[in-house]
Amino acid sequence: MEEVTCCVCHCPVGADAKRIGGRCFCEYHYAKATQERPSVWRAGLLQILGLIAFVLVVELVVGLTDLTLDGWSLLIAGIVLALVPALLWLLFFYRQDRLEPEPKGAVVGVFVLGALLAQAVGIPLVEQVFDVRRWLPISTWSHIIGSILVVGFTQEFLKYAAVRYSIYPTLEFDERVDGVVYGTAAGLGYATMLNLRYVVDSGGVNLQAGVMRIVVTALAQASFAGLSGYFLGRAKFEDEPVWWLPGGVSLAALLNGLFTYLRGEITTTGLTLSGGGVNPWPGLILAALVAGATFALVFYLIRRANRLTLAGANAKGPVTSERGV
Amino acid sequence: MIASKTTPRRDRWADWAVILVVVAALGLGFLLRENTLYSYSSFAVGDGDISGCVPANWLREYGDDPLLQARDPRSGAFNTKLVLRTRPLAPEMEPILALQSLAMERADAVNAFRALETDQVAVGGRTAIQRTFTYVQADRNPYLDRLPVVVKGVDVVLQDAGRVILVTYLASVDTFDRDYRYFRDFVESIAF
Amino acid sequence: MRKNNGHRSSTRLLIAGLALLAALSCRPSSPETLPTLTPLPTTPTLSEATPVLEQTPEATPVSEDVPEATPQPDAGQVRKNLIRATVQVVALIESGARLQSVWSGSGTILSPDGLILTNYHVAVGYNPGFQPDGLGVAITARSDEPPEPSYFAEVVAADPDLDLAVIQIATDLDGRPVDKDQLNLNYVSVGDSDLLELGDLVQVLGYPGIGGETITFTEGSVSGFTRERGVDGRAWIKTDATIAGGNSGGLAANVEGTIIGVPTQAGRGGATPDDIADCRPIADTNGDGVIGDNDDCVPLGGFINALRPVNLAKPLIEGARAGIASVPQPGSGKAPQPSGQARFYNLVFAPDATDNDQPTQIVAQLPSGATSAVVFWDYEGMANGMIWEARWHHEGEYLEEASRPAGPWSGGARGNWWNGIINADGLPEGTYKVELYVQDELLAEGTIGVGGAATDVPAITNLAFSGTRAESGRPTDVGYLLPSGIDAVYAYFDYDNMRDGMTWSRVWSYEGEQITQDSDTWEGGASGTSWVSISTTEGALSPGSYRLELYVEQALVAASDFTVAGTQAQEAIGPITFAAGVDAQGNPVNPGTSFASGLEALHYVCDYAGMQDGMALAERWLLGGEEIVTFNQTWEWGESGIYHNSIYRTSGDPLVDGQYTLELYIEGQLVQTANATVGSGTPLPTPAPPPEGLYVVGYVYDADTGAGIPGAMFIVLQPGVTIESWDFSDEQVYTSAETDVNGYFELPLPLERGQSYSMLVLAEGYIPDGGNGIPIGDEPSPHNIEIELQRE
Repeated sequence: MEEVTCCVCHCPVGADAKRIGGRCFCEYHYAKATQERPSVWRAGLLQILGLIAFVLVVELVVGLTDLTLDGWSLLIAGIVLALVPALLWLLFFYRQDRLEPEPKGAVVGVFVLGALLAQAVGIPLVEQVFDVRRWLPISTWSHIIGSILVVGFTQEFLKYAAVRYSIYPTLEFDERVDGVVYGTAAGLGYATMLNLRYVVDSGGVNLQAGVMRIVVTALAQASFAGLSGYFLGRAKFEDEPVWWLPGGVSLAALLNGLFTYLRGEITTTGLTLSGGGVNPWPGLILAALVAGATFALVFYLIRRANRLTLAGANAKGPVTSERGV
Repeated sequence: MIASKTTPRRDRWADWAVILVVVAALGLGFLLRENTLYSYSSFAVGDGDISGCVPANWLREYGDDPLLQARDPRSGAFNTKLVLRTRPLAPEMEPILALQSLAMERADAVNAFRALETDQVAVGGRTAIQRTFTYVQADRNPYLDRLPVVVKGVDVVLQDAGRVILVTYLASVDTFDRDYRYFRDFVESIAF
Repeated sequence: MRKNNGHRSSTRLLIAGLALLAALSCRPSSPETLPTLTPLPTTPTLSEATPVLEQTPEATPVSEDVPEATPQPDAGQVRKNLIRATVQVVALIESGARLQSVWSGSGTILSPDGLILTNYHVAVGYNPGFQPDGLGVAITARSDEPPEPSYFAEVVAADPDLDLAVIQIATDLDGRPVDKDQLNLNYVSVGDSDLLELGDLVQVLGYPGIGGETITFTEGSVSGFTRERGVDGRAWIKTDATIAGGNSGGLAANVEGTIIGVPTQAGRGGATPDDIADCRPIADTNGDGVIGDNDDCVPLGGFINALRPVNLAKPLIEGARAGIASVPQPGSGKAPQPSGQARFYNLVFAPDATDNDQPTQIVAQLPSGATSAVVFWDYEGMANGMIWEARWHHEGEYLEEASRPAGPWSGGARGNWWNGIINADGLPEGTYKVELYVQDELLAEGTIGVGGAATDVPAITNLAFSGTRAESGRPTDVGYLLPSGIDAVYAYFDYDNMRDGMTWSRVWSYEGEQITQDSDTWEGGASGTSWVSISTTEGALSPGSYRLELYVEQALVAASDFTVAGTQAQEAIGPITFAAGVDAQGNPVNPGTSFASGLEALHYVCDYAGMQDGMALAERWLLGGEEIVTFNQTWEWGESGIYHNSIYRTSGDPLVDGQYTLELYIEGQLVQTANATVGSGTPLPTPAPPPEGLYVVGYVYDADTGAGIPGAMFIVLQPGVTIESWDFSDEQVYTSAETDVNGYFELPLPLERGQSYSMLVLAEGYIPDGGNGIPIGDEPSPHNIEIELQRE
């Protein structure tokens, strides 16, 4: 007779232990798995609104005061702007997350890991090995498919890995919603590094154009990472088919690539005799909508799963038995 | 009863599946890159008796001399160029003479021309003579501010009956190695 | 719990490892650019006076020679074209191993392959011991920046008498010869200075300072014209536009933007000759190791208000185009010194000068409404290059707008000269005084009044000469060049207001020496035609220069010079025979009138007889009916023989195809003319005016940094081709341009108005932008477009 252990803490549990999707839980972790964490959603919402407000504030300030910075001051201003989305979310999240807060160190750790993976692997892979800037814009086909296959998969995999290989196996990851939390953190970390590199490599960017790109990048990366985080969160606490996780990462990659392509399309105004320009506002709107929709969807899905679980589909869940290896 | 070892196995499979899928996607992405950057379209010049392949999204100019010039509009301040010319050559003359006269023409037209090395190479089953050279391209337009570009180039002489076919590759030194592949594919595709 | 600890510590290790990797993979950020300095302070420039590249709301009307319904060029485009076509010409001397700039002036580009018109004193200089070793050409690309040195040029045609020169861009700054056909420079069309009238607008562009200053623009109007011997038509155009020394050689354009004059000479604004226009020594010309008062000085400042009409430059320009123009060789030593004292004498006035530079009649008073007054004088002891000046005064007031500015003498050592003032509306009445200065020394002066009705003073006009006597009226062969075999010369004239009983006399002179003098009482009535004659008893009149003066009541009323050359049997110069070459005996090789293309030199021979050393011979060549060069020589080849000369291109290239005409003049009289055709005979094409349409220039920026994107391509497709249907072949491209380091580009061809074009912008690493079927409307040219591209 095999031992039954909680799938989370590996403590032995009784045969009548609670189950979700075929896995056993001890009482404590069962309650935790289905825990709602409204702070996440509130923080997410605040984040979206806050970033939009941030953009507007910067645009207004720079536009009205006709602020022109040069050299070091422009660079530092850009760096500060690049750090704002992460700080903002951390602020919102920790503020909201009062009840049984996630350990701050863990969230920040995943955030930093996301950033480091971007710097060490993600950006070099995309920019140097694949040399994306050179061939992606050549045709529409290469633009879409390349954005998905190269940029999307690289970014999403690294963000997924930042969660999967650090906090996912630990006890700290004990709620379905933790997937979204840590996913978002990894996404924001990745985005922050992308933004920092964007500002620093250009030697300082125009603040008005820069803040747009920073916010769009942050919203997009956080959303898609949150999506793959949702898949991770489900995978830890339920038996899912083999294609669940790869499917989730692929879906995030697909959305990532499509988003990149669409954003490029809608922000490029056509060429006329008066000039050809870039209107970044549609991009911001698209990013906000995508972020809102993604989080809303994930929120709904997790809530539904939690409700279903608590409503009693637990003790009689299908029992999977396999030959021990 | 659920063995605590079995769920990890499926989880492990799932982990490997993710990695597999990502590697596959990157592999496909690499193929896409190859297809985008290195797709060619064919051409035929000189009354159709010389044919070959040039990169598909390069600007192509046909004329009398050179017969064909293809350049990459996206390659920055100096557009990487592939040029095809023929020069008449008496049957008893060595093809290297054509190289020499081409080098003189070029030296007269540009600044700081230096021939670097001359070798024999194998091109598509034939032997040919190849010369690598460098020069500085300075734009003479007084109304624009253009920095001079150090250009590295290769001339290859292919021998034909009564004439030689000269294939030239010109690129800024920064992009010479990166674009060399286009030249190799171009030269090897020439049929006459 | 231990396992989790293990997880946590391995996570930390992973993070640390990645941090290290991340730090190693950091690349240095792009170098910081220097902050842009504020622009150099400038003298009033076009950007302040009138906008250049901004879009002006309307275009000024244009008329070519014949008003046609051609599309009007934009004022902004015309102005931008003038700015780019006005260059700074810097004279350079070799000082050790370096080139040093010694003076500068301005020039105007006349053709896209680099032909530039400027002054002789800018390109060559009147000091034979101090002439430039090279000429630098600096071009203004943007009107708020100083001109950028771009090329070296060589003198290909020069006329020291007119103070005009044509230079040709020859090499780039590396010393490498340029391909003229690839230069494609902005240029100005040559206008017609004879169409100018008093009060017409004159736009002057040039570079007044010797370095670092930007192009300047001033406007004024035509305030007067002067006439002079040696020049057909107007010799000088006077303007009240305020312009300074460095403008000389530059552009004076009319309202339509064609060149009508070259600012040449400093006026002195009414000051006495002692106030010398700003003339500074700027090089150690006498080699004493010090730059000071002992060195030759160069006029740098002062006011210029005299323009040389561009029509006077046309032979030089055509000659430069044909490559045949005369370029005086650099002098070896000092300027020729005059022999003895310079003297101006026999000052008389006439209402006008005849075509062969004789007074129409000699008067002491002009009637009101007279449109010109001309002063004639004889001179001796002069030398070419001496600075002289004619200052006219009206009622004691100096007439700057009508006076001849100080300039080099070109009349040789001795002879007869004239200078005139003109006013198409009639000279204002009053007393006019003319003062003639040579080297700032007053040599002669005279007065004439204008006013009153045409008086009844005796008038003798139309004085002309012949060797034959007609029974009534005049013979048909009257002229001013007579064959030397004759033994008598008959002078025919018309007379008016004569009265029987008046005393009248004739004075005949030969080579300045009086030979006979006669006096009589008039019996011919009030008006009519008569003649006087002179004959020789020694067989034939000697060849040379003669003069007849007619006096009535001791007052000189008419005078004319004439020349005797040639023999009874043969004209002074026989018919011209063209040939491809000449053998040692002077016989023509392959004579004919039609020659194959590629002829190296066109030779001609002709017999001559009855010539006299010292006579003035002029060879005037025309190509396609346009004068290209005139060689002036003093005869030194004896009385008779075979004369031979040739023309060839100084560059060594064969002669261009066309119809060549040769005219030979002795003492200003045409004696022979002949034509020869080389090749197909079609004339040299003059450069067409720049094509019309919308010129597009602009910038391509990075949308994030705002920096210009170098190496981006702006491509305009042929009408009808869309971006999607374009297969990257060059035939479907109408025009394209690549951006420079600042992201700036200029489309080389204009876009046709009323057409639609598809355009796209490509740059590596950026999302391309484009538009199909963009219509070209009424936007003013040049049109500035700014494009932002997003990074991928």
